[in-house]
Amino acid sequence: MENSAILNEDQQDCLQELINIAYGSGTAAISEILDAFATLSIPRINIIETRYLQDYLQSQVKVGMPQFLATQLINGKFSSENLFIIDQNSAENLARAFGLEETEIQDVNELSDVILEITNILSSSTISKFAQEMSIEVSFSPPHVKLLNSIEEMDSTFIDKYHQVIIISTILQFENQNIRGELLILTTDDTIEFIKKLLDKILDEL
Amino acid sequence: MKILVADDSKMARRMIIKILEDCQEIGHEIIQAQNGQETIDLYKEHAPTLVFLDLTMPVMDGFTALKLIRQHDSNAKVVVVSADIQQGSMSQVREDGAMDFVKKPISEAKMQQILEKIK
Repeated sequence: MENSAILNEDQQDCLQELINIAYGSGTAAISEILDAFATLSIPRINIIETRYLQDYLQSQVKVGMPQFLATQLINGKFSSENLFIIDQNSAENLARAFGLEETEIQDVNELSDVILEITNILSSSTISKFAQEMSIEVSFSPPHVKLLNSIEEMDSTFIDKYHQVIIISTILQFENQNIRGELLILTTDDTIEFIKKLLDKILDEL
Repeated sequence: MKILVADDSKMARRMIIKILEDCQEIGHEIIQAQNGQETIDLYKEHAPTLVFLDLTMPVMDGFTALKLIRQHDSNAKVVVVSADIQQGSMSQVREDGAMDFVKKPISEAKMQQILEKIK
């Protein structure tokens, strides 16, 4: 379950730095939309095997609370799938921050649309910046979103084709309201091997 | 001026329309599309002066829609608005005839600049 089983210390440190920069690009875009009142914590990055994902989510995500789950496929050499998970309270706070009326916030379709766009901006900005840093090209499929009654309801069958998860966890603070979201990047062994080679190349050049 | 705003997210379209409203000196007619195919259909029907086009959309993506719009009208003015900030994506849409590439979210200053350019 430890990162060290997948990446060595230098690779982990290099990846952490690249993702920090890349995620900064995504969160900057969200901050711009929310104006200057939003602050985003430095992301906590971890890599785990997908078989531990449910345990991780049970420990991190509010169990028993409805969750929006958005997914977006990343195509190219960095073939992966992004998952953005946000609880319904946070989603409602986010929608308020975006200026939606209370009647709109009670509409699941309106809330889903907000999550769809947030996922698109966070995921596309982060991954395209990351790809730029790694000198690779990727393309994006449109994101999909659904509301689960609880994280235990997540159909994990689609996760089986992946082997590792890069977890980027952050908390967005907006006018004393915490909005917590988890961005997860599901990757295959091939993708991790590809990243390792690129990380080693970057480290060699330093 | 007729302006076509194409994005699969209603919120993204609302953000662009809000900035357009904040910038406009005279009223614009806004048309909205939710995917690339709808963008082409509405472009042919309304012949808008300006198109704001997202790249990641269902049914047909923005890259393909841009090519088809420019095939239909080589003078079409299309501004791509995307969170995909890769150099390759920017170069491709410029090669395919996009007037500009704007990183999401579009700012009021950038919108003013675009509107000035097409006046």
